[in-house]
Order: sequence, then C-alpha cells, then structure tokens
Amino acid sequence: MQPKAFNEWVQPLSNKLYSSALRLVVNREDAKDIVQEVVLKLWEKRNELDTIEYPEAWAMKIVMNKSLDWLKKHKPIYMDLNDNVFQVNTSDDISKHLHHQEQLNTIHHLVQQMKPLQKAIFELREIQGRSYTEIAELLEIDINQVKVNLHRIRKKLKEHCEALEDYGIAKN
Amino acid sequence: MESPKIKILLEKYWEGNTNTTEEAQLRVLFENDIPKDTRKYKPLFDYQAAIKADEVEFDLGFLNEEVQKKDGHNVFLSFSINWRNWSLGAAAAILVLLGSVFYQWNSIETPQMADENKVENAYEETVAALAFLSDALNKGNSSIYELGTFDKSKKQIINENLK
Repeated sequence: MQPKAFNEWVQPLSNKLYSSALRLVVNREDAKDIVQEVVLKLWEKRNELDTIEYPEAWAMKIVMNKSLDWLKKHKPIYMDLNDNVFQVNTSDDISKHLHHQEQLNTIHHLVQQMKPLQKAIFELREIQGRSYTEIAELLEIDINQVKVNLHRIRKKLKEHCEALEDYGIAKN
Repeated sequence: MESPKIKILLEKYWEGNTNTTEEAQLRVLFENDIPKDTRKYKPLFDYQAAIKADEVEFDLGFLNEEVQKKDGHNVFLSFSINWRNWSLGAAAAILVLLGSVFYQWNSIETPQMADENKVENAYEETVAALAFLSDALNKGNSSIYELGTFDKSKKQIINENLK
C-alpha cells in the first residue's frame, strides 16, 4: 500500500481506535501511546494488509487488549463529559440543559466505575454496536461471558436511571 | 411506535435479547416523544448517542518521525509525493545561495588586495606620465626630419654646382 493510500485508509480508522481507547483509559497520553503502537504495526504490515481478513478488527482487538491491560494496572480516572458532547437544544432553557448534562454525567461516572471487562463490553456493544460474536472474538472470551456481563451492565444502568428519577435528578 | 411496542423492546433490551438493529431502533425512539413511564430511561440512550457522535481525531504526525527514525528517510504521507520537486527546489535554492555568496566574496576588498590595487594604480599612473613625457619630447621630431631633408638637398645643390 502506497503511503498516501495508507494515510487515507488509516486516518478514519485511527480516529475510531483513539476514541475507543480514550473512552476506556480516559488518560489522553496513554490512549495516544496505545493507538500509536497499533498504527505503527499497521504501517509495518502495510504491504500485507490485503492478506489480513479484517485489518480494522485486528487493530481494534489490539487496542482493546492494550486498554484492558492498562485498566487492570491503573486506578480508574473519573472525568465529566466534554461540553462538546452535549447538543444544545435551542428550545431548552439553561436549567433544563444543565439538568440533562448532570444526568448524562452520572451515567458517565457509572460507566467509568465498571470493571475493565464490563467497560470494554459496554464500549463494543452500546457504542460501537458490535454483535456478541464479534465482541467475544475481539476480547477473546466466551460468548456467554459477553451476554452475562452485558446483562449485568444493563441491569445496573436501569437501576441507576430509576434511582435518578426517585431522587429527582431524572425529572423532566 | 405504539407504547406497548417500545415497552416490549425495552424489556428485551434489559434482558440482553435485542439484536443490534433493534437497539439502534430503540435509540432513535428515545430521540422522539416517548411514553411517560419510559422517560426515566431516556438519559441512558441519550448518553449512548452522545458518546457515539463524539469521535476524536487522532494526529498521525508521529508516524512520519517514527518512519524516518527507522528507515532513515522520509517516505510517508503526501510530503513524500512531492519529494522530487522539493529536492529540485532545494538544490536550485542552494545553487543560488552559493552563487550569491561567491559574488559577495569576490566583491569584498581585503587589506592585501587594497595594497595590490594601490601599487597597480601607481604603476599605471607612472606609465601614463612617461607616455605623456615621451609625447612631449617627440614633438620636435618632425622639424628635425625636415631640417635633415633640407641639409641633404643643400649638399646636393652645392655638389652639383661644384661639378
């Protein structure tokens, strides 16, 4: 693959990889290091990429494994969501907008508190929309393990949403 | 979508029995008006949609440096495509620069060169002065020649008369 073609191919992919790594490890520098390593591997294999069946999945698998390793070694970092994540609805008043931000941030903190494997499953299923089979292959775990963990994640999030309403944070 | 249908879908979702298409459908449903008793779950689907839309751009600038370190030459990205043109441009610029330096260097007068110039000027002035003197001294030459011719003619007349 020629350098220009490689650049065009790898830019959108590296954006996805970096966004995923950043959501998992939260620390920008470490997420950058993880993705840089993967992009370098892809560059070195640029002439063999045609022989790899799913190079994107291959790259995502490395990012996931490295992010999981990082999560196992480090304490979770809690950060609020970036302001640019929130779409400002012009019809909303400021208090409604802030209330919405608060709701989303509480969910964000809950996701950040999850166990490394659950965090990775949440990322792959709820954000990336991957099938159970894909997730099992990417994380090198049994498909039932994916289902069980996802069920636990959703149960926790459901209870959280109900608690938000009970404590008045979720009222509209 | 009717209220019972969204509830059924939501129940399937909590149990982990929805497929990815149904989950995408659920997210779209939560963007619109939903039954009151399901509104409490809206933040969760809003959160997923917001995170999904927030893609961060990754800077690939490091790759060029890494490749240069490993391979010792620039082979990456659009820069390498115009590398030949860049090389020619750089070579031309260096030539112009060298030419300019060479010209400047030659136009600079060192003290030694200044002395040599003075000696040369003095010599040229001396030569010019001597040439002028020579011209001045040679001014009477034609008269002397004429006198010589007259003397020769005079001797010839005298000799003819004596015969």
